Parts: sequence; structure tokens; C-alpha cells
Amino acid sequence: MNLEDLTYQLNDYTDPSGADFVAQLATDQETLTVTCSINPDASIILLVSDEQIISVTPLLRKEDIQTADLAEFNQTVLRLSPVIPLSSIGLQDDGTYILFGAMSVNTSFENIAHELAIQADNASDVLAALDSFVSSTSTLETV
Amino acid sequence: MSIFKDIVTAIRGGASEAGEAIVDSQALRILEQEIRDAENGIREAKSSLSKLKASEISLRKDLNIVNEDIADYTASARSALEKGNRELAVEIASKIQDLTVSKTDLDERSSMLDEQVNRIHKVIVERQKQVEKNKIELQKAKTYRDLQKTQKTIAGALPSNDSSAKRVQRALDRVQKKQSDFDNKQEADQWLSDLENGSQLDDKIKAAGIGEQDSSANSILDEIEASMKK
Repeated sequence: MNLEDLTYQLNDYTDPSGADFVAQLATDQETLTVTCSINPDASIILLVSDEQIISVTPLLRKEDIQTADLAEFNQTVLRLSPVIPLSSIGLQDDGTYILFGAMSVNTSFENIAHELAIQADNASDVLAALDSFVSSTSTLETV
Repeated sequence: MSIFKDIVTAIRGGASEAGEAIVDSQALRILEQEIRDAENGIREAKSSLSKLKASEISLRKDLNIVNEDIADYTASARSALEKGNRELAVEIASKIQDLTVSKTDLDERSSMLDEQVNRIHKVIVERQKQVEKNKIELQKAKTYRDLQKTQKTIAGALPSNDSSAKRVQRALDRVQKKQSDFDNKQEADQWLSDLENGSQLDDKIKAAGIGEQDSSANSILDEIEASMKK
């Protein structure tokens, strides 16, 4: 499955639950950004290598969590990760917390779409589960 | 190959800047080349292995023929002796001796070949394991490189004009809606099952002759018939 095919198919697809997708291929054609109608806030970035398709959704930045809470936040995230279906939580070098999943390159289109819908849904669940860490900082924000 | 070790060191050191090339593409190309070379080596070894195996099989066939000949000549020698033809028996015995010499020779060559075949086979298996290991290593390195490359894209996908608190709030709303949709569906299911159970109860009540009586055409007909009998 290459990204170009995937883009075309995703934009044209509605899954059995009625969710649809918007897929946009990066100009360098190395990544694909997908949003699913069940959670328009979650931008899922897809990359394809020789053996696997990796789907990554950014969740939060380290700066969104108060430094004092960070250790507890990390603990919570680690304990949350195994409970989330099909996705795991990770941390990028730049301090972005991500939700990610990996599939074989031989995964059928329907299963890829299913995984993407699940990841979009998981992103809501995880953010909602971590709300106490983020809302405490929201008081600091002056909109 | 210690690409994975380099990755781990970089991650644990926490020193890696976004976009910094921890896995340099030159090292990846070398590893890929090594894998290709090893695979070619394995292919060549396999082809020479099958040639060796072929000569081993033909040797074993020769050996079988010699063994059969020895058995045949031994039987002939025995018959010659039984018939008292000692001269012929001696001649046959000398033939058997010749055959035994070539049998020993064939045996030796066969066991040497056998050893060689086993050794090459072992080398192939070991190399294949190494190639598999290298491929996994390469996959890890490539994944790391790809993720490293897309870090910026991923981080950039978080909206900057929208506070995280707002996104979390919307996530909470979505989860709540999911829960209330679920509750509504539960309620609807309950309503449906009540309805079904309720109608069954009505049937039972009717069957027991309690409550509203059936005013179907049949019962009207019954009434007319009853009045006609009077």
C-alpha cells in the first residue's frame, strides 16, 4: 500500500459506522495527514517504510503540563498506554506526546481505515483521561 | 552492527536534537549492502551445496551397486564351492577383493562429502540467522530515521492557534457524547425489550380470558350461530 493510493482511497471512503476521512499527502509525498470525522481535532500522520505503516497522532506538548506534575503525568501515561486499543503512547525528542500505532505494509485498506478511526477515537479518550493535568495549566493561559 | 545501540545511547543521553542525524544514511546504505552481499553469498553456497548433494547421491548409488555386486559374487562363490569348483571360487574371491577395495574408497569419499555438505549447511543456516538479525536492525534504524524526519510534521500538526485546554475540553465533550449516545441506545434497547415482554404479557392475559375480549369476526359468527340455535 503506497501513500498515494491510500490518500485516494481514504478520501473516497466511509466506514461501516459512518465515519469518513480527509487525507492530504505532503508535498514531498513522504507523509500523509489524515483526519477522521469522529475526531476532527486529531491529525494522524502516516508514514510507510519497507515493512510497516506507522500512524502518529500528536496529543500534547510537554509545555502543556506543569513541571511539578510532569512525573505523575508520565506515570499516568505509562499506565494508560496498555489499556488503549491498537495504539500506544510515546514521547518525541522535541517533547511532543504522541499516540501511535504500527501495521504491516500488507494490511488491507479496510483494516488501515479501521485502525485510523480507532486512533482518532483513542485520541479523544486519552486527552479526556488526562484532562486534570491540562486544565490545571489552562488557568495560566490568557486567551 | 550497533545502530540500535547508537539510537538507545542518543535517546538516553537526551541530547538528540530534532532532525539530528543519529542514524546516518551512509551507515544504513552500508548495512543494506552487507545484507545484499550476505544474501548473495548464501545463494552461491546453496547452489554449491546442491551440487555437492548431487555427487553425494551419485556416490551412494555407486556404493549400492558395489554392495549388490559383492553380495552376488559372494553367493556365486558359495555355489562354486558347493559344486566343488574351487578354482572358480578363488577367481570369484579375487573379484570380491577388488570390489571391496573400491567399496572402501567409495565409503571414504561418501563420508567426506557428507561432512562437507553438513558443514556448508551449517554455515548457510548461521548466515541466514545473521541476515535476519541485520534486517531487523535495519528496520529499527529506518523506523527511527523516518520518525526523526517526521517529528516536525507531527509536532506541527498540533494547532498553535488553539489552546490545549480547549482541545481537552472538546475531547471531554466527545467522550461525554459517546457515553450519552451509548446510554440512549441502552435506553432504546430497554424500551424495545419492555415492549416485547409487555406484548407477551398481554397475550398471556388474553389467553387466560381476562380483560378485553377478542371481537374478531369469529366471535361475532359464534354469537350469530348461538342466536340461531335458540
